[in-house]
Amino acid sequence: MKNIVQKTMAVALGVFLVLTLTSMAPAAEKFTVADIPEIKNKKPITIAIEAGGEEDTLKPFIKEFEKKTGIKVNTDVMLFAVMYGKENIELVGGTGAYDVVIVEASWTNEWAPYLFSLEELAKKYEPEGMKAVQRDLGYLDKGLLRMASTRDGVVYGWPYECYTEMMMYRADVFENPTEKTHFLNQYGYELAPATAWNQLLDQAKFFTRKKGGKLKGKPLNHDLYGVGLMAGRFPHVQDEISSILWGMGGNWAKIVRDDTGKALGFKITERNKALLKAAFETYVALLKFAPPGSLNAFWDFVMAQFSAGNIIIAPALYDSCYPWMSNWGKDVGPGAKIGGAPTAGVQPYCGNFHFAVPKSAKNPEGAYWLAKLLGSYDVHKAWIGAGFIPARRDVVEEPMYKNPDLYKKTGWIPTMLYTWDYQYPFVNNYLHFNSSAFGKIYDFMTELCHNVARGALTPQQGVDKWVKTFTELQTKFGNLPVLK
Amino acid sequence: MSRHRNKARMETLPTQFLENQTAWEILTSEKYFKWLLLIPLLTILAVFAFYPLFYCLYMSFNEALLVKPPEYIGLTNYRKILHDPNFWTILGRSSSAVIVCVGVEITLGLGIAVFLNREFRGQNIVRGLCLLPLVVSPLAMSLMWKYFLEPQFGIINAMISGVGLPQISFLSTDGLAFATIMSMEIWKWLPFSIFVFLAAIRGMPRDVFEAASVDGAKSWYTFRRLTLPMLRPFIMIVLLLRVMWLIRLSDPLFGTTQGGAGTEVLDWYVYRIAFVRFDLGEGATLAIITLVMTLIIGAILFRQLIKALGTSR
Repeated sequence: MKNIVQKTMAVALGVFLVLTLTSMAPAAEKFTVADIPEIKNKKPITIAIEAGGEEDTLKPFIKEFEKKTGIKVNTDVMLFAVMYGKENIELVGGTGAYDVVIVEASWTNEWAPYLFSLEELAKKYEPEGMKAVQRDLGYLDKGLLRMASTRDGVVYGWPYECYTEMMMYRADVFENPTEKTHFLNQYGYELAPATAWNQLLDQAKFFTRKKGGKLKGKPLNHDLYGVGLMAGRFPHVQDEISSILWGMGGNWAKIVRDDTGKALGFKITERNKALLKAAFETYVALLKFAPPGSLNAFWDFVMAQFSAGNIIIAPALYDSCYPWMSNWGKDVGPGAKIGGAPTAGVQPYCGNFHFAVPKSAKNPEGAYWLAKLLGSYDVHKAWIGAGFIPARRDVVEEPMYKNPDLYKKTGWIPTMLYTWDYQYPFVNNYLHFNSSAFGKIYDFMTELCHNVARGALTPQQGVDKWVKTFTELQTKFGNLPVLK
Repeated sequence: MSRHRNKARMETLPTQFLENQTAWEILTSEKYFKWLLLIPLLTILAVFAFYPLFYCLYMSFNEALLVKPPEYIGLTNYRKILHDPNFWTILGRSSSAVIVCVGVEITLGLGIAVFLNREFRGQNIVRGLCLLPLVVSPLAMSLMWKYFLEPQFGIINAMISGVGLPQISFLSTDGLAFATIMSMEIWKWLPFSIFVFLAAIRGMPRDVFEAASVDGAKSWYTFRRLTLPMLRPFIMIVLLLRVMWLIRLSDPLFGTTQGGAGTEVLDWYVYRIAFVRFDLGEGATLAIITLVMTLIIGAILFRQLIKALGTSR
């Protein structure tokens, strides 16, 4: 008996040791501040940082970097609204104002001529060369990495934060037997998170009710709206419409490649036009079931409406918004429960930011190591702890983040991972990550989508305007033609 | 002492004698010294005003996209902009903002100034409170109004629904959104006209008004025949400055609509084309068109101001 106990203990100890060592092995490979070699160039580094919680999260790591390398780091904190313009001037002008810049995924093709690729930097500064870079990039989501690359697959920076649109809905309402029965009777199919945009339209209509009407069998003391939309003249309106368009299987423009995969140009096919018109029509139709004020709204409005119990579904809200709604449910009432699901069609906008080193950097060596540190495992862990969504799969796939109790802090990680995997095969075709004029096109898309939403343009006029202006902007600013 | 004597002598000497003077003496002579004093100002103007202005003009004749050297295209940018219906819509909107805001600010400002000129208890507190909107930073102002006017959570709509009226989507309804933007601008700048007019009224000679009173003139007659004519130069000053500032209207848009819901105005359009799309050629063209318009309107108003100053003396 004693022997059996001893043997069992020995086996258990062995298993424990093996497990401990295997779990430590990949951790040892992960890059930390301690792995930064001696940097010869001691010139101060200036890094662009987005205002808000980002600065607070990064500060301790920047301090560690300064301590380890002896290089002073200056931070230039700016609002996202001015980031493209400010960085664009400095990059194109080659002023050397920044050693590390923030690049939104859709700006990568445009800024590629002004940035060092990771390969160029690795060759110069990595003792192991590209091998070390590839190892660290291997921890990132493949789709996000493609978004952060040029259309030729060249990686220019270390992704550190992403935003994936998903559907947030009132799970308590969706699970309510009375509501389920009414919906089934009215529409002939089960009430469940919409998987197609026409289903969402049914649900938006179904849940829009006047004050005094009933929800879950109880009278409402305020008007209720089916959906919350970000239809103001802010970039988010085009994220929402892109999600509808992609979810319907369409594209803003088709990228034409040759047999070797080399991009030849863009083409707006008749199918693209038809689906864009359908996407516009769907959005306009959905707006009828959104709260007043939606035409001047972005995500903060939708979050507020959802938190106040005024809407039932936020069809395409950024995953990171949920951690910000820290008091969700407080004002909604007893039994309120939030649910998360992929957007209808599962192809929402999933942009990300990456840190890159401009060719005009005064200290590219120091900048490379700082950018790499800020894209490392430790920083991603800090991101998720601060309520941001990281881009590294090894972080978001940790078992602890599958726990629904943590969603309020981390967002719906499993839903996000499902979305990333689902849309990976399509990312390479999105205009956003293939056009070198996208910084300019993005502004126009915002204007266009908002104008269609407010009825200044009909969906058909919106499509015609898109074809005309996209062709003008791409021809003027891009380096690929628009093919007939 | 000797320098003064030298200077005095220099003024009286024929030009050929100046050749015998040192450069310093010539520069410090009465004839040239004033120009010497103007050099710093002219240098600053040349560097920060004339050079950018002429460079802007040069750019307007080019396709300038920042990513490649500018390419001369003649009047193409002007032709494109002047044939763009969107430009005319935006210009019309900006013009209506100028007319409405200036009209309301002058009328209301004058009325409030006349009221504030009276003696009443708490007059200093009221005058101080009237000044407050002017000290609020433009961005803070636009954000503040955005939250005040929010349809479901804003304080204004809470008051509206408190009296049983339906909520209003101030910043997301076409037409109403732009009226709201103009109201925000009027709220911000009304104190300016109030205090210009108040200062002018308080500086008016009392004896004229006393004489009118003795002659039995009624207050409306006194206002129309005495106050208003004497205020004319001040009205012109407010008009001139506010028209020029309103052509550059864009602050209230930043924290509210960002040009959405039919609120885009000329200055916001220039900013977007030049610094968001980085089409510097078109942006420069729009800036030049705006400048020319401002100069023409400014020159007309300035002429009126000079006339008004002449008649008020």
